[in-house]
Amino acid sequence: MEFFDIYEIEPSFSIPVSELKNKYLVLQKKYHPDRFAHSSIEQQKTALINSSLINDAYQVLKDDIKRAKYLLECNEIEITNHTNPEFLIKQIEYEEKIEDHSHDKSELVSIQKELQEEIEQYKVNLETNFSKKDFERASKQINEFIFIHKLHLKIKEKINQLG
Amino acid sequence: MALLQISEPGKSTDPHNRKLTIGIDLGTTNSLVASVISGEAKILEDNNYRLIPSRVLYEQHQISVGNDIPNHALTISSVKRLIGKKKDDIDADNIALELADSNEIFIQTPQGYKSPIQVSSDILKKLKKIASDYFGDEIYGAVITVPAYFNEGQRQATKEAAKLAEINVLRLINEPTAAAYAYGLDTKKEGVFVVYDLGGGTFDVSVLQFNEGVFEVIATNGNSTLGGDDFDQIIKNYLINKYKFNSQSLEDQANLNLIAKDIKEKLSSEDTINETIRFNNQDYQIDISLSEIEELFIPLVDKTIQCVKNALNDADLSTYEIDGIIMVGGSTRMPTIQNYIKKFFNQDLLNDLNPDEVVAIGAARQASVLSGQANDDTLLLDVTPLSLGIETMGNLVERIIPRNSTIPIAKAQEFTTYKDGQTMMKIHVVQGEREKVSENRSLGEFIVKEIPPMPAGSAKIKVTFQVDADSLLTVSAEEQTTGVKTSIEIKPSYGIEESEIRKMLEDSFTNAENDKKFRSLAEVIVDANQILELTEKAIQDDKQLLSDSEKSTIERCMNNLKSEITKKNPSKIKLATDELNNASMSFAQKRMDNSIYSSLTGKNINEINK
Repeated sequence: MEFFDIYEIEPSFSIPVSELKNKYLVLQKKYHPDRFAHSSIEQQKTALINSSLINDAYQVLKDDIKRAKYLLECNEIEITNHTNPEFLIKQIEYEEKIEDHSHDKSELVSIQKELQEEIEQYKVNLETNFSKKDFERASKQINEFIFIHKLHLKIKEKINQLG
Repeated sequence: MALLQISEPGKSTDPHNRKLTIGIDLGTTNSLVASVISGEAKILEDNNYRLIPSRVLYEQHQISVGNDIPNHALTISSVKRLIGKKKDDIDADNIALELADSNEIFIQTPQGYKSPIQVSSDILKKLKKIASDYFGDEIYGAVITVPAYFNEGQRQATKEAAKLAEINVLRLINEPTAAAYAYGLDTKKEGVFVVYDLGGGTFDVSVLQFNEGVFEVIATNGNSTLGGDDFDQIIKNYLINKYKFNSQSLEDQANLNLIAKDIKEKLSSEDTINETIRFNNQDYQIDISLSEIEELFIPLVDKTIQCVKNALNDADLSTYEIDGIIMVGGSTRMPTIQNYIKKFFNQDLLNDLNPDEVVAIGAARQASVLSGQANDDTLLLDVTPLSLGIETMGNLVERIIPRNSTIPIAKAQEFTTYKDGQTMMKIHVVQGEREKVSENRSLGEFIVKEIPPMPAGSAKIKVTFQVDADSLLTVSAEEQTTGVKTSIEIKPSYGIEESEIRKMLEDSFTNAENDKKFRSLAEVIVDANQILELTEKAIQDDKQLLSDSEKSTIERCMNNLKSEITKKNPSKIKLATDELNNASMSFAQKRMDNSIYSSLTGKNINEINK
């Protein structure tokens, strides 16, 4: 949980994003190697280690997927590769839908909206399971969440390409 | 690991102990040196010249740099295009220089062969001298700017050149970041800005957020082989093709370059040029219109726009979310570029700072902050331009640090052995965005030795990538059970492929689909070979555990898998692998039981319970 400790944020799936960003800037202003460019070699090395850690923690905490995976890792839960058959069917349906409408921008935008709603729903569910400490269920959801996320990115790219 | 304790950095307040710092913009065509004097950043002039041409003249007993060189003398110019590169990386025909016959680049001069690092260091010495003459005192340290899209080799080589010039480098910073810093401090604006930086030989685009004194780069992109010189080249070719300018010697070529540059600059303020040019003892009558030339420029401008799009995409931003566009580099004065970019963003451009000087000004300000003397808590947070990774089985790249990661950054990843009893492992470090190793730039390799012999997949080798605030990489590897540690710094001599750099990012976007296919094929082949090898070895060691029919089933599956591998269909290979896996399952179970049994025999019960 050291990443949460560094930012003095309670370990959980939902975190105060703007607070995280503010803390990030405060910490970097204090620990960045630029602050120690004229200090001793030892201090410069320490600053390098600290600043790297602050960056690494920030990258993990600000990203929903990375943060969820990190929480599971800290609780020593392995992410299962098992996908339930229902989701598998949903997955195929989505892929087909995107394929069928790959040149229809308005249709793609409406699929994108649908996916956006799914993402929000997954976030709510993940939050519920993490706060109940039901890590098993959270670990099952995370795979589906990653898939929906990837699909969302893919469709966004397609929409951008259509201009 | 928590944050380490660190004492407050000391601020030296003693006025007698002043630390003189400078900012250096080491450009392809021109260089500048600036310093903060009583709180204000100023360009330091060389006999009233603000721009120092990045040209060096070597004579028997003398080295002259920049404005000291008499006109039309044959000089070495644009050496920044060569720094950190190998002969194979460059198009030697386009360089009006006599090169040594070796893979390393050496330029022939009356003082013998000089490397690009040596030539750059002579320019840096001149810049340092301008500053120390101005102050009448020693210079404590300098911030030197490099293109954001410079790779490891080019950055290391630049630092090496500074070392050779006996300059204490406080930091290497990226040119667009320096420009944004100068602009942001000057205007006190906040928001999201794009820096469009077209230098003499390089192009960078960076997306930055300015917020309460923090200048945070969100994404950067560029092309380290595209610059204003390329526009000159187009005009030069146009003169040769249309007006039959006849250049024969290296000197002619150099002169023609100057004529082309002159025409480009005139076209920034005039729509047509109608004049007689004297070249090589001949008069040439030319009549050129801007629109004619603009058409030839479009492909180059399009290339820059593609980089802008990539950067915005990485930053997850659209053009309308940008609060301002800062234009940097003398070449951005070209009306073609101004109009194009204005249209792309659909807003006016920020041209209020001198595009030639803004980088040096930003560097000077940063140098003064780094010396701890400025009472200033602004901060620059920059990113790595290209992804860094290592080669894994099957010619694949495992990315360890993705592009656009905020620096400094350290990332570690564990790798394991592929074969039983493997005692060495090669770590091959690469930079780039492609999935296949051969299509990225190789930065160097080293070998982890003395891995204790263990079954395949049991050893744990932790590979750590550390990128420091200069964006320089150190890679170390540690075998976890023995603690044997090996590491390398990426040295300037590591070759890079010019054509590859240019193509790398473009390609990674168009080839993403192919790459994925390749990756899935390579991965299934690695898996398949591994299980084949394991099964073969198991049969060799423990065939007494197998019945004849079991053995023949397993062998049939193995042969089938071997033949599928040669046919290269990923899903069929996968299927055949699974079949072999299933067929050998009970055999594996028997072996495991047997090995537990054999490890238990000969020990008394107390030992087992320990």
